[in-house]
Amino acid sequence: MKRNIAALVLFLLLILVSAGQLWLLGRTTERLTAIISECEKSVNSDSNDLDERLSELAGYWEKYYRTASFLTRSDSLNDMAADVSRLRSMKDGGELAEELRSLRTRAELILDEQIPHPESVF
Amino acid sequence: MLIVFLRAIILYAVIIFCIRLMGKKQLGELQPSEFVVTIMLSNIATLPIEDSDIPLSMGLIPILTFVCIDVFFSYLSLRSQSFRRLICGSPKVIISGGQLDQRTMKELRYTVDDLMAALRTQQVFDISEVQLAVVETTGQISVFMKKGSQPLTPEDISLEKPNADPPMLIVNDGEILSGALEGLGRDSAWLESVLKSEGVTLGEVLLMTSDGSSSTVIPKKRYRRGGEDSP
Repeated sequence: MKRNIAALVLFLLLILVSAGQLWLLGRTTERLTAIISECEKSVNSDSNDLDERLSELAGYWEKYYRTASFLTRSDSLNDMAADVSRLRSMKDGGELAEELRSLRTRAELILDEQIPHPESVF
Repeated sequence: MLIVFLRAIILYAVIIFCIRLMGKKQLGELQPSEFVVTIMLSNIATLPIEDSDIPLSMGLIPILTFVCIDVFFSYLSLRSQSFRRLICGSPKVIISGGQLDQRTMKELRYTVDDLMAALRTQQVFDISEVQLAVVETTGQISVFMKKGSQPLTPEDISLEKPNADPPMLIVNDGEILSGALEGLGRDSAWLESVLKSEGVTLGEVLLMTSDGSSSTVIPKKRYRRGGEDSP
């Protein structure tokens, strides 16, 4: 009986951990996309706080990268890390908005890959 | 390299824990579901070690999930005969009344070579000596010999022998095993007197077995713990 109880507790823990990981990734992605959206707004409105927004993004990126790489196996993360480091240099060109959009899309895709849709399970 | 090293240690500990949780079974006596779990555990455990890009949780979570499911299935098998039959199948009689059941052999996809090899593992070299043979759910074959081919027992020659438990291991590498003396109905004073009569001390004993009577087996240690020869 002890074995069954231990297995049951472990099973429930696994469910909690798996669901918890997805929730954590969701929360981190949501925050990252919110910051990216703020950056996009600043770019589109030619606002003075663009530098501040990009610094916030670069700062939060570290946390997102650590969380995402712990939870998923995604080849995009390294490319995204390289792109984040180049964002400031894109400020003067016209590519910044596009790059931010691309970052957001990739972050959302990484999260979407972890959601158990029937097509991803089967 | 350090990542791989640390993961190997963690996974080793987790696998040991999983094996303990699943319970004691000899490899040859695993049910089909247990066999599948064992094979999959070993395959999945190597993935995070071979590829450090894979998060460790991608190895741990499926391993632990399989083990939990295996424990639940074992419990259900214990409680429900129909569930057990569904998961493990049922034993099949392949030789009955000394006659080979060829239809069962065909159902089991058992060839003559398989049958003869399985009988030989049971020390049976003449199929005509077999009264009953059962293929178990583990794939092993159990054999009941015809009366004339069974080994002689004291009962067959009307010789009475009292029932007795086998000798127990009392001392292991100089240490007394807990519960062993109580199990034999003896105490440490008896042990000391036996060792004294054999001219050895406890530290010199490699192992000691006894059935509680004067019959004891006490090989002495040849090597000390450091590997050097004892004087």
